[in-house]
Amino acid sequence: MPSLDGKFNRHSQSSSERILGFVHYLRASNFSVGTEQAALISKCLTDLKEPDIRLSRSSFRALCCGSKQDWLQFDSLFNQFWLSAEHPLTDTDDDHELPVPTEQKGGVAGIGGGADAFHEFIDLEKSTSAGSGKQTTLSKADFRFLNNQHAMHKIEILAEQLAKSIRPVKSRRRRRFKTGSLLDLGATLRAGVRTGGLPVVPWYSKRHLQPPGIVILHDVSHSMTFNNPMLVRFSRGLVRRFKDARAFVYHTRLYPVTSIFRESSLQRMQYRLEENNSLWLGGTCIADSLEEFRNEYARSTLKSSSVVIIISDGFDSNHPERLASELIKLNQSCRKIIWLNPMLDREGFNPEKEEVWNVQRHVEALLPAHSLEALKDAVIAISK
Amino acid sequence: MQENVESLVISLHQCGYIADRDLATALTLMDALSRPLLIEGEAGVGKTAIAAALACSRNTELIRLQCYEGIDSDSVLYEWNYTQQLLHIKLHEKSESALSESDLYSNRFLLERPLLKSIRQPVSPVLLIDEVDRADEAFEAFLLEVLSEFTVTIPEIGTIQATSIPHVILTSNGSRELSDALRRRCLFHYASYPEFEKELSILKAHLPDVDQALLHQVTRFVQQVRHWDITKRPGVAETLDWARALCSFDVITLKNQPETVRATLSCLLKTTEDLKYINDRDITAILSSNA
Repeated sequence: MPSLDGKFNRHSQSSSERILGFVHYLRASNFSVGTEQAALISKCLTDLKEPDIRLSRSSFRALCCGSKQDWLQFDSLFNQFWLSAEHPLTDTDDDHELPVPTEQKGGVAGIGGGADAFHEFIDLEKSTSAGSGKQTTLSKADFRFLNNQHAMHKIEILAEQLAKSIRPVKSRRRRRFKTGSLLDLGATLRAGVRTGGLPVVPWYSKRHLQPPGIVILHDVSHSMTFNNPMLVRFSRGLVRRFKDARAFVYHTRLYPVTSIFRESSLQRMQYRLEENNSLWLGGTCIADSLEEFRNEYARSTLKSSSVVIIISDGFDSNHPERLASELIKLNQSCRKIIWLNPMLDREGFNPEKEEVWNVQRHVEALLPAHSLEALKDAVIAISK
Repeated sequence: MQENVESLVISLHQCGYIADRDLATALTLMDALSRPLLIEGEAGVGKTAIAAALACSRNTELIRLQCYEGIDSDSVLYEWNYTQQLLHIKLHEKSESALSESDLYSNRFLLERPLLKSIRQPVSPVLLIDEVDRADEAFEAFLLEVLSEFTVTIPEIGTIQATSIPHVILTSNGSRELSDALRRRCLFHYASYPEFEKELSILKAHLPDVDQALLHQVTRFVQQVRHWDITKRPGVAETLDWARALCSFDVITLKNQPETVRATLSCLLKTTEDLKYINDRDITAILSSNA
């Protein structure tokens, strides 16, 4: 019987992190699993002295599934997380050893920036004590530590409401209106010319409200899995708030999703997003995606007053210099770029060591986006 | 644990149940983690039979609690035998000894219902809570409490602690969405329609005397019927019924027997719409493709 030695026992010091990562991954796929299931899996693996992969898969499935839908999609999620794409586990495959995620070449955790992101996740898990009990209020709760389905749902709603609270900005130019407090003398005189000055028809001038011209570039690569349920709702809120807002998602390629985000039914939106498998599985090529945006969509979507919001953890498989170059070019076509990074302000994340920090000088603001509190600051920055 | 899974597959097979490794693993985990197992699936795929086979393989008692709409805690825990109590009072009227309340409310007059019975067994029985989705949510909450504590409080007697923790199997046909709380406390197994090889093995296990070629044809026919757009797909139970019905007509082969198939098709299809849906041409087409 093949052994899982290479999976859990030989690396016992990190097996708990992998199990936790798997539980997070399942939760991102709408499984109702939490720390309890992680503990049960650990206990189960302890009981399995020399676990083989099929037995482990069966055990994990019995522990983590809660419905027919979970059951039917579990195999593919298990394979995506633990196995490489070249060697998926088939029903007839009895002699398969589970390779550790670090050796993955084609699985979800191993695509593009995914592998780095996985290790980043593991590093963070080491340096922080995960658990929802650490958070005291929903507004300060880190999206990554949310285990409670109800709390997650509530935060998603709040994130969307927060995005909708953004007010249109007042334009610099004044326009004439028939009501107001500041008399537009020129317009009033011009209007009186036609009737010889009488009766006087007053015209007023005021700065009109104009939408901020938001363009969202949302990273949906694997490393963003734990943050995206909330951040997608935030993006949806922005798109639904302003008629001229546009949204794109990207990993290694860019996809326009404005019409999907505008769906009034959340279920319909989720269905349409899930329908497009190409949206969700991939590594991260930020610079390539920005270039694609610049070449294909920038001309039709960007104005000089536009605000470009990049939502990404910054783990990029493209060269950092390319990213910097693309940001400079993008900056020339819009008013400002705001980068929302859910990794910032998180314990264990060292920005000095990360290349993502280099983008700061090319954007108007580099802000955290790991909690509602952080998103509030982001909303202020967008509104300015 | 591997050995336990393998041996469970074998012992279930000896009890007439063909289990895959997924199911055997879930049943083994149920013991290891002392958690109930929730089995969901279409009607007729063998959910209830799992409990019976498990009880057989463990050589223990199967206690079945059939859920239905309006079921309440009294009917699943205990009741007092009022008739016996009244009779006992009458008999004591002429005797000189005083009758105390504790005499009346004793184990002698206690009627154990499935839940109480299951925790008072000397050896852990298999407790089958069948079609839990038919019961209402209040009963589901009550089940949660009992299954987590395994104690029952009877006001007249006191709290009864479990002498043995039963192996609890819950089944659901999915007619109602079960609560997250119940799902979270259970291990889960989804019983789907078996694939060809497995269904053939089940038929062979249950009908060892029937001609293998006929069983092969029956299985292939049923597998194809399940792909039709019908309201109620036949389960394994229906396949077994149909095979038995064919045997009772002394059918040796399905080849060139569309009339017999049509005559016995009511064993497989249980609604008028489904029976009307299939015409003779369909039956002939399947039989000729199987040949």
